[in-house]
Amino acid sequence: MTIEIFKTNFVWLFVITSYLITFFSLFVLYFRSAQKLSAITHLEISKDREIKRFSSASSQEI
Amino acid sequence: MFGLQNPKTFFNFSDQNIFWLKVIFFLTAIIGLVFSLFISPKDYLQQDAVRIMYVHVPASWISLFIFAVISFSSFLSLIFKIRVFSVYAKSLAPIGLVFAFISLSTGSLWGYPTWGTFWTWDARLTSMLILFFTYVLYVVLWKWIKNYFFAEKITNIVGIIGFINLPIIRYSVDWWNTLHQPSSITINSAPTIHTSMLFPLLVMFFSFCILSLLIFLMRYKYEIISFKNSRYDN
Repeated sequence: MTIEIFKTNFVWLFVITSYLITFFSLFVLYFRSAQKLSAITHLEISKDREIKRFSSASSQEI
Repeated sequence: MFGLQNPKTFFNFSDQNIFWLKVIFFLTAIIGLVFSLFISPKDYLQQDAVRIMYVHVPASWISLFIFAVISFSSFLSLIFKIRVFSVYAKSLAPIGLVFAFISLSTGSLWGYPTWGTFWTWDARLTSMLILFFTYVLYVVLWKWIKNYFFAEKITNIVGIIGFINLPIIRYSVDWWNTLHQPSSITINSAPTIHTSMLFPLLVMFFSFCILSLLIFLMRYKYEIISFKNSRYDN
């Protein structure tokens, strides 16, 4: 069906390109934002673990 | 003001609602795509090229709306020194930038089959390009300036000055003779487009709004955590 559309109507090339640009840009923005958030959240969790480990180790030493 | 000055307001909202926002976005995007690409009728003059409108117009509306919010937040942040408003503006800026880019690129692709050119220096297109560069400047300043408080002040000024461009974009088609068509949907009068085209347009707009909110919540959360970390580190 899509191939027929492209053969019969050149305008569809512009339409499809517009939709591809739109959703690709939004997809990239969404995943970059999600990636940044997940990286900083993991950092937070590992920081908390470090602090807990450090505090428990020091209490044992004491 | 609706608890917006409290950083926890959106933080808690994002924890509770991100999943449902994803579901709503996914469903509305599918409905919007089916209607805009297959069910909505061809235009009698533009034929299938009119389908570009369903991504171009919502992207333009959102990029304008986001910059209005950035300007308002910048004003509150600069005058009343409420720091969370500059975090709102900083989190929104990349979203507005991407929508401004979508508006310009899809508009260009719509222009070729209808006007016979990808670009012309008419008032609407030029003022929209200025908005895009204002977004670029805003985002780049946050990246380049290392001192948080100085960056905040400078970007607030850019946000407030950039507001001047918004009414120019909105009324450019009325004030000057432009190749760009006048607005089909205004707040004061009934829309001049048929319901069969208005429905997919509004669904796509709603879908993009949900996605913008989703991305905003993620970026806001990131900004709050990194701001907190930077304060502990210093």
